[in-house]
Amino acid sequence: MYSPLCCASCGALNPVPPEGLHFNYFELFGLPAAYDLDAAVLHRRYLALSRGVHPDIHGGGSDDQRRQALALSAELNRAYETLRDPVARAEYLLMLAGGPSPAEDKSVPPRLLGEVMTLREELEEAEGSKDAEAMERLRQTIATRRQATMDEIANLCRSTTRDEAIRRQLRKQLNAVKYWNSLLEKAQTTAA
Amino acid sequence: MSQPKDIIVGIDLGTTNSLIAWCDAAGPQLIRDADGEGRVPSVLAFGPDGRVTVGQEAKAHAVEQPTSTVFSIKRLMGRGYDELIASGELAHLPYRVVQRTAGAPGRDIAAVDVNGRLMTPPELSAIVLRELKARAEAQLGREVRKAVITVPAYFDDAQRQATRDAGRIAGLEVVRIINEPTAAALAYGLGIRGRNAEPLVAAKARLTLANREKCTSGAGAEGQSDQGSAGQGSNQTGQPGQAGGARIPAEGESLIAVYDLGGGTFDISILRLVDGVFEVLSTHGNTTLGGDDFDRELIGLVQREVQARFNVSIESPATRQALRTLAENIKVRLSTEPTATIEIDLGAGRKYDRTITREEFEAMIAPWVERTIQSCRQAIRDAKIDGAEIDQVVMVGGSTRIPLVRQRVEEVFGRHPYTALNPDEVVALGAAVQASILAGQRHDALLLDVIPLSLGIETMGGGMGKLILRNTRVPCQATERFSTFVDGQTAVKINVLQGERELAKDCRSLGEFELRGIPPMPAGLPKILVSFLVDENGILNVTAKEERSGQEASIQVVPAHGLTADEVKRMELESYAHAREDMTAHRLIDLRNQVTFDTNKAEQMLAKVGDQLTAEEREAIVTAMRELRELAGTTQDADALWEALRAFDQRTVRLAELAISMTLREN
Repeated sequence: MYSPLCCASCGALNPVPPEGLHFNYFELFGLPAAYDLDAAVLHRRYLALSRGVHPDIHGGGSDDQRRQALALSAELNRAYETLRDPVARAEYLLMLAGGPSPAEDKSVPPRLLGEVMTLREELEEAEGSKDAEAMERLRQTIATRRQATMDEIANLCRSTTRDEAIRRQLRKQLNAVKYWNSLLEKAQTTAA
Repeated sequence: MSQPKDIIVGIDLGTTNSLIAWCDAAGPQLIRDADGEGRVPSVLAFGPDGRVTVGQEAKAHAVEQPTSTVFSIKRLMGRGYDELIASGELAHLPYRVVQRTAGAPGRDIAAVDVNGRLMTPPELSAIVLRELKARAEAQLGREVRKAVITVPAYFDDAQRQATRDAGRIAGLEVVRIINEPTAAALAYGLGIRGRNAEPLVAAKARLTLANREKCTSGAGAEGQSDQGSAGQGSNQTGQPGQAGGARIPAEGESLIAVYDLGGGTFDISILRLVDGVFEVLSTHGNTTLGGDDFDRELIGLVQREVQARFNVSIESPATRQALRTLAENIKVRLSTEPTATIEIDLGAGRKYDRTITREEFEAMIAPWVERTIQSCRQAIRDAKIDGAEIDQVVMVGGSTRIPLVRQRVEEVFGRHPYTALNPDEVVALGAAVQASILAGQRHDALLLDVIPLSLGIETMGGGMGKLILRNTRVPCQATERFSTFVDGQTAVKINVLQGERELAKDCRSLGEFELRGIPPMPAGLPKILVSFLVDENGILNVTAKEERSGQEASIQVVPAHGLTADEVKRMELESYAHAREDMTAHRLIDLRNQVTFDTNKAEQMLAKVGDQLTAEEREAIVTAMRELRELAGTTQDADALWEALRAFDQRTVRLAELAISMTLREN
């Protein structure tokens, strides 16, 4: 397999350009730039690439080589964490397609905030009265709502990203899923 | 590759015991003493002549010399005096811990007062490391200069740095800090495979097998076959689990949980093992929870009952030390027996005689054990797996011999824990395996670990702005842009934090990073790109660059609870030069600093709670304070100054108590 990180025959690390590393993450793993990917393949390629660049493998090298290994593996890890996580992957695809970024557009779908606030209040109430059954029911409701948002994100990513209206839609859903994630986290920790 | 010039040893620097191991053709093995004992108690005894003894001998002295016998140093590593006070940790230690003030403005560093000489936790740990190093050198017949040292997975940056500093002070190049559960997995995991792995005996057999594979393989050819297998793996996309690892037979992946409960720390790590890669998915823990806490429960019980029955207070350092040994024995006995009996002769015909049942002991420690179970649940959630998917649960650390611990772990993971290797020794063995990987002796295994706690910076308004989330794979990097607030400003200060809480004050400050050398420009114009790089050891490295000028900005780091590079260098020289000689000059300097600190502190306390003392008491303290300051300014006799300081501290005990209870009320 072609590795943009190190030489395939001798294992020597490729130099880090002074302006920093800018790989296309999909190219790095030899995968098509698409939302749907085979997680097992991604993982396997990640491990294979790690075997080439991890600092432990270059522990006996010069200071320069060790610094290079550190920079390359940090970038590899970031690439892997980005593609592995569906939200980060969708965010990355949107970035590649030209945005908008979360800083440029903070809008969320209508009615989201009201819904989140109501659920949060119910969760706090259930927690206050130590109602385990209600907490579990709420956790499930939140998980379902989050999944619906994720399904919507997947659909939008599969549509053409050249269409700006679709990209704006995707932005909104990606903003929304952050609310669901933090709510779900809260529901899980209180349920435990 | 030829035989490496330097041997790299693996060291488990534990709260209670420390061990050192190395790897040869037969695989990892421990350095043991003549009796076959590999454990060296992490205990130091300082004699009045300045001589230090380490290990079993020091432990034997603990009762005779409670205030100059130092143990459980690991619980102090990388932590500040104020936070140790706040956590109640110091109340349990018979030796004296103080705030180190010399050369440390704005920093909070704890130090132990050893017969008047202040020693930081890294310096004390370094003495243990030197002892281990000497034992290894004597047995191996060669110099040992490089080491892999293990730390609890949940250790933060400051605690890791302190461990690395300890190694340097001991004259060791710390080539790698690895996490204890990961090390244990490495020792075990080369044997554990697949979902239908056989139990205990087979694991031992496989471990030996894996070791033999290692030593017979030609090192020269390995580099190439690794490359080859990496290429192969990516072609065989249809066959999961076939990639890489020419030497380990291809098998499916397995998930293991490592539950590590030691003398003073607790970790849970969840790992995925596939083809020799040990991938940590999540980790959680508590760096101040361990067997020590179980001992303290027993000590507390005895103290309370003796007080109630005989109206005798057994609080002196010597009795506390004796009780510690007693509690440890009771705890160990209750792991195999249903009851254990305590007998204490209090003199004058008073005998405290008490039988403790295992149920009773379990009720005392249950809240602590429950906290470890909560951590296990969090780790399972963070790994984004289902608890039932875990194939093996590995137990590490002496405290996992307690039946209640085993039972609760079995309940939460729904499977029988795996204990083929000695839980005391497995971490050091794993460290030695990692050492052999770093030495280029084996290429079949690779560790991919995570950062245990989120890293961030203090934002405007005192918030914690997370830059790297917990359980992110290391090495990892985050960048952040900063600018200036004032025209012509050439320096910017950044407070770097670690923790999960939302407010900066609830997280640990790793220190102030001051960016200097910013070219003078109008406010807001400079663009300083700061990069936070966490290396494979889980240790943070910060670099900065001004983007407009392309100029590298220099960074001055003031560690909040740690030592600066210069201090470490000085301590290394000192530790080398002063290994046994008299240290009067340093003692005097340290003591004078301590006098300044203690008298200033007393002054502050007087101002705060002095009105709760009688006029005579106040007058006595003011006089003592003046006399002590005068003595510090004139005397060259360190012993006399030390005595005077101790006497002064005794005299202000009540004042300190009042100040502490006032502080507690305020909180």
